[in-house]
Amino acid sequence: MTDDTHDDFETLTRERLQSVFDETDYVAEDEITTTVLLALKLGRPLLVEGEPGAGKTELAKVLATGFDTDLVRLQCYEGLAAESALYEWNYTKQLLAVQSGGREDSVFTEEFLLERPLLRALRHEGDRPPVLLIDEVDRADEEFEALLLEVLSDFQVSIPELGTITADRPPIVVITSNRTRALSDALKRRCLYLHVEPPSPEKERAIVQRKVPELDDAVAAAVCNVTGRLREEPLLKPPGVAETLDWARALTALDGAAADADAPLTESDIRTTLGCLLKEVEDVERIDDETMSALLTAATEDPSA
Amino acid sequence: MSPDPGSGPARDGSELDPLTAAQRHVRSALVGFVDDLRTAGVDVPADGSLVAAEALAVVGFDDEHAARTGLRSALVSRPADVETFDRLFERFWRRVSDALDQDDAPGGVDTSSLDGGFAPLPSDDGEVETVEESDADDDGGADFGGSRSQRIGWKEEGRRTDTEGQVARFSPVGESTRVEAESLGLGDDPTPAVRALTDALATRPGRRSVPAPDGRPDVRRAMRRSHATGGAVMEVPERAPAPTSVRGLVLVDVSRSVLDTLDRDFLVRVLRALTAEWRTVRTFLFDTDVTEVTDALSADSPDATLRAFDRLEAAWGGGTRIGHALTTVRETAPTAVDRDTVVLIVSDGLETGDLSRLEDGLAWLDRRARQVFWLNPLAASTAYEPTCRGMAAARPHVDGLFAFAEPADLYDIARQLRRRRRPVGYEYDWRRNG
Repeated sequence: MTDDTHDDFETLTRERLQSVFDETDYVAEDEITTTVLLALKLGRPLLVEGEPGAGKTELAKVLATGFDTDLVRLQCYEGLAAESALYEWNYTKQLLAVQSGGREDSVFTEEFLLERPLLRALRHEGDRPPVLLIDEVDRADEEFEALLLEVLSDFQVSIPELGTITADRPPIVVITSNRTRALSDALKRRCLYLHVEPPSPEKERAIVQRKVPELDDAVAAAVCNVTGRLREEPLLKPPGVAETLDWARALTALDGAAADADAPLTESDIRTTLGCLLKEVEDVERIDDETMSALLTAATEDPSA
Repeated sequence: MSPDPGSGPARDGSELDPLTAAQRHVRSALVGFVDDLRTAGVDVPADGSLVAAEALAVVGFDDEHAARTGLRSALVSRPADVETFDRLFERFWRRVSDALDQDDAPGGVDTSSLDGGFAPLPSDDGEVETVEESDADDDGGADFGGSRSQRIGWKEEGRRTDTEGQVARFSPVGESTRVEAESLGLGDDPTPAVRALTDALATRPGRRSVPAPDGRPDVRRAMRRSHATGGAVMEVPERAPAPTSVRGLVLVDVSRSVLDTLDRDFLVRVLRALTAEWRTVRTFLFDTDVTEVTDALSADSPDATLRAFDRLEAAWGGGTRIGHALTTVRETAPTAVDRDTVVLIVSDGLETGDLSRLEDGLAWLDRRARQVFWLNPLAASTAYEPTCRGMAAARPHVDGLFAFAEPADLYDIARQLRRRRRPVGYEYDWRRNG
């Protein structure tokens, strides 16, 4: 392993990183900025945990965009195996090569190797190391975690037929987890840890204002108030920040009336766009007249109160 | 926790330059912090100290919030541990700040070497000295052979003058002050609480008998039951004496740090109540010396007890040498403990003596006694964690660590002992857990 990544970020300052977040409209508190700065400077993977919709995946995307580099994403799922994450041999091509009879050498060479996300991140060729996003690692099996250990500790992959492939420029690794199961100690030991809390109402308002700038500030506040009030209900799937943004965009797309600061949100506005916020039929049915009245009241509340 | 490597000179005997000394202090504090986190149950990775040191090197010491975030990312991997981390971080940061301030102001106090249950207070005037463990522990030549109610133990010379109005967070090897024969206040009578505790602790058979599967035949009850079956005895019930009394050994730390947090009135009244309620009990007071006060506690009144203490030259308010006290009791009163004995140790655990002697003494008690309970006045605080080295060494050998500051603490001990056999301790105190 080389220290190129470390060298790249050795001079990185908190202010520079904060400006990267600002430029990409990512609202990050000091805790997130400091932890990401540490991960970049120390060259260690960053394990990000938190509620769905807290902005974990977005963090990796923002880093890739902000540092103008590629994002290599590995979406984890149950049953994810090495051939889908690391590499695979192109069996069809190998078979054809053998049948043609024209080859003297082995068919296990670079020519027949199919790169998968992890290997692609290690062999990335570019001015800057890529951002490797290993998303929702808790969905994968524990065996897959073991496979990750070599990649994350030494930034190398061992291919029996070819040998060990080591990254010239170790990628920036962001691992996300929704904590549906506990991760192994070995994996956690290799990472810096960041727990992203659900955003406060103020932070959510700032996110909406940045991500949906065409929405009036007062309407953005009303949107956040309604979402916040909805979260107080015993819903099967409470709306996250992503749902808030979807709803804000929907109100903007539906035009005018809702996006106008002088026209408050109406019951019709909320009813027709409720699908952006609630994704379970039981949750939609729970919004009766009484709850709707409470939502409309929340929409008119002063955000500074 | 190991002794602070940063407090002494370099290995070659030369004095360290201030920068190197400060670095050592910070390293030592960091290792202690990680140790404290693990003791408190935080799941710290094996290489957590190394990563934390790297993180600190990056974020520096200018910004407490940045340092907290950096260390948290390196040392915490469960959201549930964040609260514990934040609580212990405050102590760590004070130690580091003290060390760095000390570097700025020569002659300051080496507070990082003190590892009490609470963080040591920085001293403004430098009058609180670093504890010299070796000085406090190299006696061994004490002449023990006195009878009960005789002053026993080792007399220390050249002690430090006590400081009024300052709460000790540790027990220096300080000067003991003779117990004055003054009147005690009118505090709550702890006798009912002691009775409840006695019922819960009872190990010795009393006069009352209760049905028991392996007792003696209860002929009277068998005869009564036979009336229902025409005189035929269908079964013979058995009875055995119920355990209603306690044989005990009470070791009371009367060092300055304990007496700063524990009401002496309450302490004396509890000791008197234990003496009155338990079948047999031997009580020893210790700080740097050990004095048996069993007979004095049987005096007619609390004031008479204090006068008896005065005659015994019982002293309190000195330093804490728990290991030495246990060794003394083991050598001078080995028969005070047997398999039916319940041992109560009243102490804050802030040991200034040799830890190995403390462990040896407690291991002896653990093997020999029925149960060993540690009553700690500091545990009455909800913020208390038994992280000081004395308590850390003692916990494996005690059956329970409890708070001890008021009668309600004794009621809670009794409640826990009655309702749940194991585990018991301050962490299961319903008042602490809301």
